[in-house]
Amino acid sequence: MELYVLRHAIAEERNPIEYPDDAARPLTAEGRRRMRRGARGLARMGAALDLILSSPYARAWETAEIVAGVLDARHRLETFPPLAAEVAPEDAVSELAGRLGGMVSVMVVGHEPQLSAIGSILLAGRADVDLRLGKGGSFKLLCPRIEPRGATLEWWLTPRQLRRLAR
Amino acid sequence: MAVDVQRLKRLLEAPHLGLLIEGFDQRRRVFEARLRRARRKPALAAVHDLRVASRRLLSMVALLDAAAPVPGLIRLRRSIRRRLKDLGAMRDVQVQMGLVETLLPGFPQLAAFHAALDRRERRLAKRARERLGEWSLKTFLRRTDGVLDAMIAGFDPEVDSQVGLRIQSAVEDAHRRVVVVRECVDRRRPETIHRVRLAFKKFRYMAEIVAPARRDWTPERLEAMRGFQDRMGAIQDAGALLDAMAAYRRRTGRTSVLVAENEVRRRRAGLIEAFVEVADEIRFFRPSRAADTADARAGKAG
Repeated sequence: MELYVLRHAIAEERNPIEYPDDAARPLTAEGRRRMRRGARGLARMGAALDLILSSPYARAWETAEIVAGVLDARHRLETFPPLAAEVAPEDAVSELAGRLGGMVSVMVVGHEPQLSAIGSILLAGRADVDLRLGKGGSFKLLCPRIEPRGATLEWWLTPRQLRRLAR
Repeated sequence: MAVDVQRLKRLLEAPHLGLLIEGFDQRRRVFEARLRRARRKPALAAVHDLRVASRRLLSMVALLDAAAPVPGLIRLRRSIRRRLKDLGAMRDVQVQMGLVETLLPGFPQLAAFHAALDRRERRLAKRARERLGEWSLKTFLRRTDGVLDAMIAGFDPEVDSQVGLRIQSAVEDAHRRVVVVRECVDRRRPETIHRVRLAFKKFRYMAEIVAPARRDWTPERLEAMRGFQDRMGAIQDAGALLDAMAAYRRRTGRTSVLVAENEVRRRRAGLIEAFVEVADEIRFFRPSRAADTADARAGKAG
């Protein structure tokens, strides 16, 4: 299975007055604009998805919507609560293993440091491989099985690289 | 539309000198505009256009030097060349990034190499911005104004036919040089093709200068010359990319780029073969004496 891991795009600053619930923080206009270009870069890298799973947080969901729009996968977009920022990466991996059986190409959209920890567990069996993503950055794993040390890293691209690929 | 009497007078009385004055004035204006744009943001297109404008101005200066020399040309040439060098490395990296981006979907292992190029490009862009900012536009304009004033002051219709012969001879020399370096092309040594490219570029820019006064340099022919030059450019770009990949491998110890490197090498070999097949087309671009229409424009011929 191909697993694309994407961090949400640039969101509004934390602001307890305007956004008492951090999960409600949306993307900025610049974040949306950049993400649209980044999504075109993902398309250029051959991303053709069966399913997009997104954290329920607004910033991740908006990011996933943008990607789904560009990759023509709106009807394959779902929220997946284990991708929320506060869930432990080990738990997220177990939940993903249960959800993704039989899929060929899936994208997960979420938050740091959880996403890089998920990637690290799938690659090395532990959460300390440095795969940190910038906002709108992505990496791709080839996973015959969703389990620790079950994956190989295909690529890791910064948001800027993805945007450049969109040209 | 207002009629520029001085301009018409120059073109009617002395078509060759008029051509040089017009050509120089136009090229320096384009150069100035490109420089201003690149200063604002040294993006790939802006840097490329500035380099092209620099080379066109340099060819103009070379033609002036050969046909109607005036003081100040050497100093002007030196300053343009120096600035051209400042932008060379950045332009190379930008082209390499573009090539890697076409390869990335098939060779995702190039992602780290691409990121390294990206970092280098940002460093070079910063440096280019500083260098371009240091370059006094005022000094450049003073120098080009000086050259232009000297050309206009020395405007003498009596010597125009001699100037015409010298222009013809300079263009022929440039073409002859292309033919000579083409004879030395060795498909196993891509640098021999690069030498043809440099000589051809100089010849082509000269041809563009004289084109308005000649029947044989049609827009189609100039376009064909550009296409011919692009073939050599693609070979040079692939070579520069291979050098950068090898340097990256040595620096980082990462051999993951090797597969893509072999692919680039294979593509370059194809480009070289294709070029060698058509290399003798260079002869078709030879300037012919009979086609000079400058006299016709001046009302002196047929």
